[in-house]
Amino acid sequence: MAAIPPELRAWLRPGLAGMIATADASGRPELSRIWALRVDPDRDRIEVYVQRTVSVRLLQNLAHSERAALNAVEVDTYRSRLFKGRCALSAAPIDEALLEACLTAMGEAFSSVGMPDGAVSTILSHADAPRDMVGLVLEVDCVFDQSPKPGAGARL
Amino acid sequence: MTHDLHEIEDCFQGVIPSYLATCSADGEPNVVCVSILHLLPHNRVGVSCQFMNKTLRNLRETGLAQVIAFHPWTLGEYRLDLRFERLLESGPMYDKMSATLAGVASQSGLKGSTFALASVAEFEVVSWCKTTPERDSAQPPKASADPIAQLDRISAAMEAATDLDALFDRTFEALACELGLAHSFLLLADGVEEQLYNVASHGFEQARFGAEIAIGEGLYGTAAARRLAIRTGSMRRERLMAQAVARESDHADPTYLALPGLPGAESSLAVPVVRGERCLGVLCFQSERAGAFSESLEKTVTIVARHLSAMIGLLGANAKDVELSAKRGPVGGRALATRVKFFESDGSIFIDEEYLIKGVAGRILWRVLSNYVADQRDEFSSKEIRLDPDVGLPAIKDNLEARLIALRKRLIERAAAFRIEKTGRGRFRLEVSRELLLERRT
Repeated sequence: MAAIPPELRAWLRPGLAGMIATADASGRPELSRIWALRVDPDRDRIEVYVQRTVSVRLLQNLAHSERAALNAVEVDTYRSRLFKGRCALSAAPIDEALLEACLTAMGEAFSSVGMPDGAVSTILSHADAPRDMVGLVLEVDCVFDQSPKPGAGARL
Repeated sequence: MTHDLHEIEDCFQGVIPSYLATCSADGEPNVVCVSILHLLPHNRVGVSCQFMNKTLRNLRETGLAQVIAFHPWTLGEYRLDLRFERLLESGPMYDKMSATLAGVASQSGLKGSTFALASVAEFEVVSWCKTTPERDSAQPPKASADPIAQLDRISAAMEAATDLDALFDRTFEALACELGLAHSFLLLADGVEEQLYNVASHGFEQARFGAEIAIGEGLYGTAAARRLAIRTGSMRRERLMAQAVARESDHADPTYLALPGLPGAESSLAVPVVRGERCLGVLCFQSERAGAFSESLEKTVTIVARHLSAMIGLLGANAKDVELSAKRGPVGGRALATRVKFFESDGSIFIDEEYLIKGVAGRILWRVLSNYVADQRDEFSSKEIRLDPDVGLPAIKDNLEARLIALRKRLIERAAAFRIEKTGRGRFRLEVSRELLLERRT
């Protein structure tokens, strides 16, 4: 049975915000914002982009453990899903068209909840080498409903 | 050693949700979105625990967490490494967070225990850093850095008042001048502490004097019920939910008069005015700017509220000195008749079919209007109002002076054909510009 059902594949589109976390050997977690996201049409696999310069510890943790958790949020509804699985560096080059589409859609989503115009560019531009992204691939083995409500955290 | 977390106080207003990561003992990370990260004393932060079973399990197993918080103005990201300390299920901090959650839920029309606070996870901040440099140009203007001097000036302005009416006006003017609180109103509790009514308003297009809410209702009513200040910094989503609830509730109440409000309010602050165990009322503030009210500002206003409580006690104790000053020019001639309807059931009064006021204030007004028409009397004393059982004032703590202030201002706001004017110690006059046609209904 597929870990990512068809309706969830359709939901995983540009415009979602989110964070991915890994952990070190002591159990100390490390978070990093995702800037782009796409789901593999044929496999339970999600590719995400994170900024390299602010993800040093997150990437180092992958040498210790491949386990990662990805929280994706629909900004204007708080509908949220948590994907867990094995994570590794992507072998594919950064897809600039995907990145651009996701940044544009994310900016529109942020504007819809009152964040200032250009918020995405502002956040991005603060980092050294803002467009220096690292691709990560998450092989998803379980998904959870993380929308804020009674029963949040239930496995889907 | 870490820097003082108050340097990034604005990150803790809930304008932008935070993310909290934990990890299980067997190395499985977990991430949840946290609507408000609370800044606690002594280098601690708190997270309200709702719908967070997995996070709590992980915290009990490893005790380690990380949160990323966002500065609402600079959009800077801050990474806080945390060590779980304990779960709070009672105490001042729990009460404060519980009141905030209840107030926001009530304001949004959410009822029941669905959003009740279960517990608060308290963390020590082991270290924190900025993940990205701040954009300094986006910093909002900062208020004066000397809160003691501000409080001194506010206090002096309040102490110059000689009656309750002037006290309320002076307080709001000083808060606007010193702290930039441009939109504010004061709700006072009725004698039996069931209702709050609007007695003073500053900076709103519609002052809405006399508007009422139940204690426990909405953000302001919850602050009164719990006797705790409540602050919210991102009301857009809450307002959308409330509008959705209102659309589903199709029971129009002709006597409903909304509280003053900014159409695009993003931030709200409610500070109870408390004397001993009794809640006298609530100081209410709004802003169109998200995250406008900081924890420091809340503390400053809380001190002002304590001073206001003492001043109300001082000025209200001498009821005969109540001043009901006129702020409007002379009323016109008596060419037209005004129809006044009074409904006994709730004390509501309608002028030419438009709702004016209800409750005790409505009964006071009906009493003097009836005397005016029946006996051609236009001079009244506070004492006779107090002694009239039909008015329904509570035997103690009747707040008559404050009710007369709300009534007088409401009449001016509505440009009614009659108004009340103070004429001496404990006395007032009804001034009427048109013939009155009174109609009483059960």
